[in-house]
Amino acid sequence: MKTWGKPMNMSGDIRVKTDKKYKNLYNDLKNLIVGDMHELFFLCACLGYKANKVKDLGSNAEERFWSRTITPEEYACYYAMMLEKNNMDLSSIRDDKLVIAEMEKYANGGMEILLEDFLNEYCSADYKLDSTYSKELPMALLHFIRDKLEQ
Amino acid sequence: MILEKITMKDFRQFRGVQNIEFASETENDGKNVTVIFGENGRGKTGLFRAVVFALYGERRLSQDEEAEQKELYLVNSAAMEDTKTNGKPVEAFVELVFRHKDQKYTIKRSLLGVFDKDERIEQVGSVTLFHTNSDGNTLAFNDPDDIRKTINSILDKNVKEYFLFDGEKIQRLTMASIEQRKEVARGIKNLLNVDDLEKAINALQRLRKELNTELSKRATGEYAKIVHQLNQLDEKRNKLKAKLEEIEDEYAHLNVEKRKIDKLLEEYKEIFHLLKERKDAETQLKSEKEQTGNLLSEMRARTAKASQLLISSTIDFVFDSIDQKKQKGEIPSEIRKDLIERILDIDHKCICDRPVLPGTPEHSALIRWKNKVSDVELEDSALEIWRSLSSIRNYREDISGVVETLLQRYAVCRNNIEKLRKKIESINEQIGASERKDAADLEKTRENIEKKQIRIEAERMTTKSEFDSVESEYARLSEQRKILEREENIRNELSQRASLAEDTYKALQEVYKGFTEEIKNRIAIEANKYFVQLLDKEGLETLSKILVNADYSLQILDRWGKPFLANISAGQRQIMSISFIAALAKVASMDSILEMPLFMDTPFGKLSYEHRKNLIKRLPSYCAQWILLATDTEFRKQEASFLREGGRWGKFYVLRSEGPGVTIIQERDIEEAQSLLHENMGETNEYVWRYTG
Repeated sequence: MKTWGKPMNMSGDIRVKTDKKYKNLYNDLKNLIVGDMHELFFLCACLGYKANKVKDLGSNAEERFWSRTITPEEYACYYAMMLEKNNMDLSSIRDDKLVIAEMEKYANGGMEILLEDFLNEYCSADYKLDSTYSKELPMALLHFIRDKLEQ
Repeated sequence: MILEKITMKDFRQFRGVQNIEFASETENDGKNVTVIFGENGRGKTGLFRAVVFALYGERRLSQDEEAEQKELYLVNSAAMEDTKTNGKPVEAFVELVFRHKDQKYTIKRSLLGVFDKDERIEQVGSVTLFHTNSDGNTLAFNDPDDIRKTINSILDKNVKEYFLFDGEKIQRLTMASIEQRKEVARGIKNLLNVDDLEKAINALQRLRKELNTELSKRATGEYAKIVHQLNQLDEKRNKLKAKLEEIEDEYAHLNVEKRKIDKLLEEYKEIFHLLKERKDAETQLKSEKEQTGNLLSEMRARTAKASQLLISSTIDFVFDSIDQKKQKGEIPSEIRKDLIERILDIDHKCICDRPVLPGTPEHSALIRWKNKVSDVELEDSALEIWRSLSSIRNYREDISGVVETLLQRYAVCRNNIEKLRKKIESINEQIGASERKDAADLEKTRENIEKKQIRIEAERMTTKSEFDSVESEYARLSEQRKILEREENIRNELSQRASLAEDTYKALQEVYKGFTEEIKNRIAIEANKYFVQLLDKEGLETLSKILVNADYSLQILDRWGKPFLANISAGQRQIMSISFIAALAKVASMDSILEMPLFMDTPFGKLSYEHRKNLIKRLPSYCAQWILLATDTEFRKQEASFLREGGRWGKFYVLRSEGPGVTIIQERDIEEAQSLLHENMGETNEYVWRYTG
């Protein structure tokens, strides 16, 4: 017997993972260019998806934040990405764990883009931010996003 | 005290051993004027310092208030440079020979200058005093304390500035302040030798208190009550007196602070508009910085929404796809998938009770329907996603607009900040030294000082009124006590002694008051005589007389008898002060000429031509010795001519520069003055023509 689920499941019990090497970066960028970790994750996922850059976390996966912090709009975007990727097969969004797992790969790829194309000026090789320049990062990030839109 | 000779070694600008012999009427030739002439920076004030240092061991002059101690070096700088190579300390000294009451004194003070690495250090060295009395016997003193006492008995340190002064200081005597009142009062008391009288009054006051305390213990009844009250009042009166003094000290201290600020403000006047401009720029900069901070916060809050723009095409595609399915009626399905599954797998009959069995056309038709429709929850999710994406699409334009606006506003702010920084930098360059940058706060500090002074003044008036009422109550009770003593025949020894002490105390106070009042009046009379002789024509038309107030402050009345001190010029103030000093000297010496030098450093700077002429012509006869340190702008051919005409000019020295920081003292014949000095220029010549023609 099937149970009736609620629309847009948006599961909050999932531990969202990122590459462990980005732990400091996630912590540093939180409050600096974004309000919370889920926003940075969303940015990276969008970047990765746009560039179709998927990178498996493999054994480097490390739990970063709870999925309950993801906003409905972000979830809607994740589902949209999954649907587009799977030719609008609605069953692709049935399981939020699979959706998040897929997004983790995009976010991982997206973080590489962010590092290569944006944070390299502000960040050392071991992913430490240079605080001297970090004050203006929100402005630089908007410029970066705007540039990406034009590509 | 009459100065005879000063010898200096490596002191200030005077390199090596050099000396000056002062004109001092030793041969009864009437010559009592010495002119030491030098351009600015040649060491006139250095010579003044040498006299003050020799007599009192003081390194600083009153005009040094603002200067940092470390900036003031007494040892010759050129000699100090040599120590860098030979490593030996420089011993500098000043030796001053003077006579006082027909006795000769030679005081010599030394100091050592060394370099500790790059830091220049000066250490006060030994002091010796040789005293040759009228019999020709010489005593030597080495104890600094003995020497201090001896010198103070000749010229009290507190009054030295009446006789050894710089041009600016003398003018301060006319400033109507508590500070000035104290200075003048102290000076007068010292000169008039009323110290002993004051000591006697203080001793009697102590005795009176002791006797009254003893009496209050022994007395009984009404008499005891009165004595007790008198003791209490006396205590209260003393406390109030001490409080008044404290208030006056504080007020005087604030005056000093205010003067320092005024001096700085005067210096900073030229940069005030720059300070205001800089303050405005700094306020704008602060506001722009706050705005950039706010803009960055807004940007941070919009990062997530801006990220959505990266997947706009995906959002559009999915939205359109779901929308099309909606249009086609595929979502939501016309027949729900769970209903078809129930008919096919559980009930095997339709809702109209018609059987639906595998292999039948009905069964096949339903299988086709089942494949077309999705899970109801997924369909609901798709609809929810469609609504969310619709909302995202709706504000997409807004987000793009906001991002653009934020970036533009930020760029404008950054540009403004850059401009303002450059402006502030440029203003700072114009303002110059960093210490001047704080000038803007000075006005505020001055305002606070004035507010505090108003408060203190009010407190002073209240305390004074309280003091006066205690005084009158004390007088009333004292009278009552005397009546009681008479009525009740209280004539024991203790009460008689207390009464006697009280009466003597009062009598001495009266004597003191009468004496100082008389002296004050005499000083005022003499000061007015000098003032009239020294004042120029214009001043005589405007000003009528100098008043010495009860608290020794000076006031001047205009021709209508109204107080006019605040309106007179700096030169007139100087003339008024010199008149006062001359009067003081005359009164202190019992109408003869006080045996004191007038050692003036650059006194003519603020004086008009006529004042200068009057002073030069008359001052030599007002004092026992006049030593004039003059610069080229105030002592020219005309001044020299007036001085020579008076017949009292005995010595003439010229301070000549010989390389950086080195001055040579050269004695010249006074006849040479005409060829050495400058002509009087411009409008002064007209004056010369009018008054000499």
